Amino acid sequence: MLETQDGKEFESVIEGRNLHKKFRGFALDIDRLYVPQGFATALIGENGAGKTTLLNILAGIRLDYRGELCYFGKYTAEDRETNPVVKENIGYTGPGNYYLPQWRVEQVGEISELLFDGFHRDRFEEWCGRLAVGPDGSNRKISALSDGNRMKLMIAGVMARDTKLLLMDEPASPLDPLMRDNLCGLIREYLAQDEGNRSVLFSTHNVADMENVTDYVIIMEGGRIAETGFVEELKEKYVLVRGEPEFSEAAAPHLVSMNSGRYGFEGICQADRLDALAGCKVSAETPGLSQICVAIMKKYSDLHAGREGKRGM
Amino acid sequence: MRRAFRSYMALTLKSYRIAVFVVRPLFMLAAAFILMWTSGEKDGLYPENLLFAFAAAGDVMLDGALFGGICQRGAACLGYMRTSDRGMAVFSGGLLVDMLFRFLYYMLIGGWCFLFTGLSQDFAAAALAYTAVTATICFTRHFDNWQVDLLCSAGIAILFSVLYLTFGILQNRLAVDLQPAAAVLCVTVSYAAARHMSWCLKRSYYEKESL
Amino acid sequence: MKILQNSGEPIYQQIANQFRTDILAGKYKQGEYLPSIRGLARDLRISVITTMKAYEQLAQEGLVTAVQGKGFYVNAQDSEMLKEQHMRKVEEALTEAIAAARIAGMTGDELTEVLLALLAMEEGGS
Repeated sequence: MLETQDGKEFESVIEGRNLHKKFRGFALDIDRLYVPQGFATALIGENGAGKTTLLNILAGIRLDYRGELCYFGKYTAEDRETNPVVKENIGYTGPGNYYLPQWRVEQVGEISELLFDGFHRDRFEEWCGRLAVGPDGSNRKISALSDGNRMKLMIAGVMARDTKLLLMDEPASPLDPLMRDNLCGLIREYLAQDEGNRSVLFSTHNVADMENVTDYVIIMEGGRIAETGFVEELKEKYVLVRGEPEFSEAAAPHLVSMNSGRYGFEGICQADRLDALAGCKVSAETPGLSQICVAIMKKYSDLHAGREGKRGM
Repeated sequence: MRRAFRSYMALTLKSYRIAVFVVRPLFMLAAAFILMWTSGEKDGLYPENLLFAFAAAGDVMLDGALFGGICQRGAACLGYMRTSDRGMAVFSGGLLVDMLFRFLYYMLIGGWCFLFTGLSQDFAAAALAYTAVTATICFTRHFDNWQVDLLCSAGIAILFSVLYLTFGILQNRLAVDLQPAAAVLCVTVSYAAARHMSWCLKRSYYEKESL
Repeated sequence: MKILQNSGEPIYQQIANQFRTDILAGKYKQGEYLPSIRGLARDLRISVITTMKAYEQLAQEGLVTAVQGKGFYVNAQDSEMLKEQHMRKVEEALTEAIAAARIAGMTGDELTEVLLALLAMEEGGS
């Protein structure tokens, strides 16, 4: 199945329709989900926006949801549970406790061999060494590893397999800055090795860390998707405007969101609405990805709060 | 079957396996031998059989050390298992092998006693002990908590002793051979335990909170 | 290839400029494929969509052609068209120079002198 953006078509590696999941006080509610194939997609949102839930659903770790999914253009969610080819080609990493704390690093290798056909023990050991899982290369217990080392272990586990899709839940969070940089390089290398056939979907609540590797963005807020698009397109769709404080009130309704203070205001505006700001003497420039994301998240969380407020009344 | 055996080897710790295959049997065989040698039958009861009560109690603690908390929602290693389409199969295979080894171990001790006493009652006692352990770990595996395990260990020692005394007394009074009943009980509880584990694993897909 | 992260120019533009220069200078033969977009992204440590956009820009300018599943290959550069393009550039630059000379109050002869002196310097140097 294809996704159309400005007349260009892209294959999607995951497509979802009408995904619903209700928790106490929170609901995941997604009409349409597209993840393009061959690119690194960032799932961006605050803590509690539903990113982990969505990734768990996509990885097949939780089955209590409603909705349809399509993987690699041809497999449904039922196929994912019955046909080994789907999960074989999906590599998942997450921040939780995915290993029994009493296990040792070597054991993870043994178990992975049983779980996945495409797992290569020698590559796993190579990756453990390359990522320095456990400082002295010894066979440590999982419970003795730090969060960062545990994440590196999971990454080594997926890199040792032959997969076509990586689903990574907050991979950068437990890692130190040097390792985060390595992670970006790792993702690029992964995509480059099988040109166009491999994809990565990772979630983050800190865009700036992964900005250099992000191709496509899905912004979530309150369990819904607020905005999606390729980074370059979003940078054309939105404009960063700055102006003098006396115009901030006049400009406010036309902006997606705004920061204003004594020395002026700064905000994100949709490019096609720029004319409405004509009288406000603003300067316009291309926004950074973080700025766009923050602005959209702010707008949607205000909307959400507004809705909640009305219901309370 | 071989795959299930490989799962068992991969899922369990070396220290656990040493305890199960070396330390525990040697200790039990030695203790049983000493008991049988130093005392004999008294009122239709055999002290070496009561040793089973302590073996069972120890087993609950041992299982808790490795698999404690496995039946909880959001249990530690199950998330990783679910990322593979055969994760659940691999895991339950390993657990079944563990159950099988447990059964064989008890039969081994029973057989050892039988060699000396020539009484088939020893096998029945072994079967009852195995049943008590299997039933108890279905409960303790829901808690990742050594205090619960300890409590249940004490409980199981009591449970087994009561079962054993009851069976013994009934057998004497009713002059009915209750040993087949012990065998049936053993099989039934094994089956129920396997089903319960299966249910726990399936349930892990449907947690209330995220991992 | 040098990419400036903090200059005003978007990264894809910088990449496109570099490749355009190289292609027009003849560093790539006709029909030769440019580096894959993901390989280039990996080597430059940027996102794939940026390299893709750079190549798409070059494709729009007619310098390269995209082939589904294989990448972008360099088009035959028409030398006449190249020459014309560069001649036009010379005209534009000279027009600007003339306008600046007017503002500075230079005469036509003074301007020609400057041009000849610069040419001599360049020939002397090369």
